[in-house]
Amino acid sequence: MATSSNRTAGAVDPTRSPGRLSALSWKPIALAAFIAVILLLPLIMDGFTLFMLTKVMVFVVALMGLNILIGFNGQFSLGHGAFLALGGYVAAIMISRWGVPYYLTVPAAGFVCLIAGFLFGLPALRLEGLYLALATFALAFVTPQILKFHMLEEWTKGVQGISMEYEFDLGPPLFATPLDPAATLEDAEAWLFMGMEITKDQWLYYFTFFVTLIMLLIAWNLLRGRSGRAMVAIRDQRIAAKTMGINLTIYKSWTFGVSTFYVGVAGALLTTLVESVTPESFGFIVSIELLVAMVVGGVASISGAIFGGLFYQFAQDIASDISTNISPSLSWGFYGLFLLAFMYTMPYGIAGFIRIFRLEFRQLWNGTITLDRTYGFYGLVVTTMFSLPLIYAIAKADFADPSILSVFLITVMGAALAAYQVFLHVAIWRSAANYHGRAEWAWTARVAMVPIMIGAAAGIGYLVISVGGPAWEFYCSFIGCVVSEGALGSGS
Amino acid sequence: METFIAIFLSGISVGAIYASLALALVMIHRATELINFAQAEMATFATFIAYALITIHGFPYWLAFFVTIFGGFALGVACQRFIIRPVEKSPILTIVIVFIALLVILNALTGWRFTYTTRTFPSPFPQLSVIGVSYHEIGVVVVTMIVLTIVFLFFRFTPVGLAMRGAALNPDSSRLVGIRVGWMLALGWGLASAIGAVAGMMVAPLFTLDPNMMGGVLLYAFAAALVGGVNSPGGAVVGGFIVGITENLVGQYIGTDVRATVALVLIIGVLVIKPSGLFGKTVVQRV
Repeated sequence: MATSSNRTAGAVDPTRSPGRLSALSWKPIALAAFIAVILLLPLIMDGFTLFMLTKVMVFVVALMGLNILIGFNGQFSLGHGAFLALGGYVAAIMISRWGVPYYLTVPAAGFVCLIAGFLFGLPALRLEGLYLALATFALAFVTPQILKFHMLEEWTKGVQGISMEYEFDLGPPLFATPLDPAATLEDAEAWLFMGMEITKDQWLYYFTFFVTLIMLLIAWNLLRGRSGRAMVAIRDQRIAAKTMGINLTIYKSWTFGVSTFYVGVAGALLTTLVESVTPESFGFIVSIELLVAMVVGGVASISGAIFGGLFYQFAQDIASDISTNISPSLSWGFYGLFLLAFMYTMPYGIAGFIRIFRLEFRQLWNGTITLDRTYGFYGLVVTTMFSLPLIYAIAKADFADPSILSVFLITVMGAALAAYQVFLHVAIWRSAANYHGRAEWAWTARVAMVPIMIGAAAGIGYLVISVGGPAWEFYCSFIGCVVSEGALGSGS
Repeated sequence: METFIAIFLSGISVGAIYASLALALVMIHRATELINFAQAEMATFATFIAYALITIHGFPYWLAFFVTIFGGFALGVACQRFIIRPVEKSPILTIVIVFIALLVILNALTGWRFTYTTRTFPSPFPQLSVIGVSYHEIGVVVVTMIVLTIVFLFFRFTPVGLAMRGAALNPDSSRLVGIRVGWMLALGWGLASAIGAVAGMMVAPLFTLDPNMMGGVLLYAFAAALVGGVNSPGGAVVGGFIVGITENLVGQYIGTDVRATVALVLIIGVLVIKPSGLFGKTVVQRV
């Protein structure tokens, strides 16, 4: 009796769980592993993939800013695309007009946006909810018009925007020398950085990662402290927060400024990456997509910004990929279907889903979740959902000439699916032992695992046979690459 | 002076369209506290139904008009029952994303079926004009006024209208007296969508018909609803006319390329001074 009540208490009280998890302190280890993987990725990725991942990180910064405002402070903004444009244009003007190094434009664009956001916030924050949404939406709607406005044309270059390719290249990375001594600083394609050969794509990836990491650390620090508590208090109980002595106007404008600071930094990073800005690339659809990615990633969470960044970058690509076989104009339709699928299955975003899932996972492993749910939902539904991206990746992969990313993704997803199957079978076995209904059903569940296991083994076997060869070759060549890098570097 | 009157009158005619769409937004907002971002896309979709009926199937205009209104109604009910209902209890942002999903799906479907090329939509009114105002613009105002009157009479004098108002104001008590609140909500969606369909068919001859026709119209309707006060249907109608006239006067006297910017700045300026809109009640919050 006592044990069962203890168990229920632990299960229904989610607030206790994080404490227990952090006591295990596996989080820093996982985080370190995650960062290590990110740092090592450039060594195996081609330039285009790196470019896309760099863009993901840029949008992680932007979404973190939006999340601070909407998720933690409860202010609804539909217009952060305007501040992305402001940050981007500030950076572009600084680089192309004054020849400022790109890395200095990042903080500069951030501070310009901080001030602009604070000033926009002061009057606009008299508005609440829908009214603020209208004001910000209007801002996003008129942004291209303002950028094209003829009196600003001297600065913004009007309709065609600012392109930096011909006027001024981005310049060399910090602390690096060109690999080819004959090349000028701007023309060189590869540099020596602390004894290692590094390409421009790789350098931008590391630079963006460094900035993203700092921004996320700042956000983490800000949100767990006094300011973060004040923001959340304003969101949840405005009047109570005011009674506690929180200055609403200042705090809300300040939060708006901080969030636009993030978006401005992201805008400058985007300019550095894409090397051009145009009015049309900052239409109101950007603001909508930012909002969508934030909610899909997970509201009021830092990891939500990371998932959101991935969604922002890849959902459109996958949607247009699927639609090319039917009709290119349906691309947005598939994007919409993705949104519906995400919102129906994960109403609290990906981060929220994982949070709920982690609590359930513990119970699943212990076999305390009912057999029908374990079998039906986690067995059939989740396995199917898990398999779909894998099947998609396999269908997309060209086995004759496998791209690095597809091999990598298929390996990771295949391994994850295999691990999940093992986990699931333990869960089903334990859950069957705890089953209180007719014994036949428990045995049926145990027996029914066998065909699934055979199916999974066959699938993984097929995978090893079809992608195994190229994958093995590819990983070997990668290891070889690292070993003989010095020799290769001096040879080329 | 004559230009001023002409501009003013065509402002009224555009304002009538904003007013109808704003009314549709307010109807859904009163019942669910949400703004339906897909409202304009639903209207465009309905307008394309009318277009197909008239040009492809050879329906006479007014028959197609009423068939489309019914089609718009059915579309609204279907959207509420099948797409919005499953997430009704979710956080607000989740529902907003579902609205956006609905918006892009409807837009893509229209674009897929009818392509993104612009088309001309027929007007039922003669191609004439008095003092610089076309018959179509006058017709728009007349049709809108008829629609608004019907909606008013429906809500004021019919039992269903009363039930719908009850369900919007106090769902729990309404359920206790036997009103099927879920269906009233669906009915509200249907009505809003039907009003939007009329607005779409009226606006299409003014612009050209393409899947993105109503994007800007939605923003102005949104502004109109907020200027009038988002809880007040009458306010939404007045707001629509204010926004339409402002926009047209700005376009004439300040410059066409900044017309949206200046109009929106003015509107937001009004809102900063009077945050709950001209006719809206200030919501008192309970701690």
